[in-house]
Amino acid sequence: MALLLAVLPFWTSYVVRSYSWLLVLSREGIVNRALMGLGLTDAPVTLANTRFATVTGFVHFFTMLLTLTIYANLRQLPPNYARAAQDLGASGWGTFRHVILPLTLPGIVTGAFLTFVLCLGDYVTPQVLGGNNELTLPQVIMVQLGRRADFPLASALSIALMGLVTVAYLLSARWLRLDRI
Amino acid sequence: MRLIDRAGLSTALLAALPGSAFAQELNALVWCDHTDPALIEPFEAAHGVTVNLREYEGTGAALATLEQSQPGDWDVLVIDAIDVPRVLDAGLLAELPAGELPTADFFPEVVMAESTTRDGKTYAVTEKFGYNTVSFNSETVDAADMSDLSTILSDKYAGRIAVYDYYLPVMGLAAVNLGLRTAELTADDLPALREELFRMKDHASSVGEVVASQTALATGEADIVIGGGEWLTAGLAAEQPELTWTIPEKGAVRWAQSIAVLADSANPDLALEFVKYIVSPEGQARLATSSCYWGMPANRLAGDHLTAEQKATLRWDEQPEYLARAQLYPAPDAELDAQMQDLWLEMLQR
Repeated sequence: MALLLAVLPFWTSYVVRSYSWLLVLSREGIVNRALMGLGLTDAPVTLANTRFATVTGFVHFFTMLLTLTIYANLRQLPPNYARAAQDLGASGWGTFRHVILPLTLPGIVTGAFLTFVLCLGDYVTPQVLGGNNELTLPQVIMVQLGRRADFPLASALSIALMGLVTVAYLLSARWLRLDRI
Repeated sequence: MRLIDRAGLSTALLAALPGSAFAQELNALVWCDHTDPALIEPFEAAHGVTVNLREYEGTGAALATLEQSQPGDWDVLVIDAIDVPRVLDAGLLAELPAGELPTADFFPEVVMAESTTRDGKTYAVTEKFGYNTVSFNSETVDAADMSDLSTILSDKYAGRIAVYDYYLPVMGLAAVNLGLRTAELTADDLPALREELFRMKDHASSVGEVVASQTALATGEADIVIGGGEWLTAGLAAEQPELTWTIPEKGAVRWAQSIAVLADSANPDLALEFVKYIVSPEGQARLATSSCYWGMPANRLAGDHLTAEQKATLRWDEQPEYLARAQLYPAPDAELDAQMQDLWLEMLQR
């Protein structure tokens, strides 16, 4: 049930979810109304069109991806490992730290890598929630393509983006197990 | 056998349907206001054809699409009026029969022959125009303050402003506020424009494209949109009549869009018919009140096909005064255009 509730918002489009967050965080939105209703602020707080809004969007959209990746990895872990550790005298924390965590690390790193790559290349979230106040690399690439038709610069920036992803891949390659997802 | 019967029946039905897959097709690169079925379907029904529309944003994107397409892929192009000479330079447009176009019925200021004709030949025709000025919520701001951009950019409205994300009209508006002529902007004016743009950014909560600007105003995230106009608020007028627009005393910027037939069109006759439909009084009325955004029709006779409410929303009766006070978009050469875009990017990243 918890998994269903967590997945439910993802049955709608990414753009709709982004605009929904914009409404939630706007001056007339539910968050500001709640803050003022509770007497915590006298006037609406600027939440939309900020870095905070962009990060909130990223966290909401990609936490589920990370959760599912780790969940899939945990499901593959035979329960006998934990039982064996406990049989040998390990505490609950000791079992998690010395058995479960090392064995699920590939899933965690895979999820983190995928989340990083998707955040880095995301155009919609910063465009809708960030209010164009801080441009991300995909936004700059889109400006070059859509407005200036400067394909060489857009290509160069895209290669830089790919370079960053490659570095992230190399740094995490030791633990990456894409077959675990 | 049953399958064969069904196939035969389907073929017969398809052949009997008007405008079926076998009908002639017209491919048009357009702005979003042309994608309204209320505008396109009457033309398709009248000619028994299918109009395939691809929406684009920014002349650069249109040119890139044309460059990557095969000759003949596209028949009609809708384009920012100030960019017509640029497309003409590239040899992309076909000559239009001037005698068959109703430009004599147009508002004279928007015929824009200096852009749409070359060497006495017509290559494009203005179809719609409007203003990049100031849209605002009349319930939350003092309407009198909206007649002066300097008052809008004071601390009184800090954080309650959204800026429309298109460098040409907003820089034009900044130029107008500085007392500069938009048609005469040079690189020497850029430092003053930079300060004005930075002042806008410092007082704004967001810089957004069409949908983002509309959303900001409609949801109360912003009370004022710099660069807005009838195109931003007219479509919302029925539900939120408090959202309106005005032209400051120093003036505003006028935008215009043109339509043309591409030189490599595979269906030049049908493309011309489409252009003639769009600039006809009926087509103009439908285009003016398109679901994506409203704007003034270039053809004055469209007024006969608009309701009194629609004309009031478009400020039909005020057009002579508005046209006199508004200057056209800046039309920079390639070098100045690049400098202006760099400045805009600098403003966004500030």
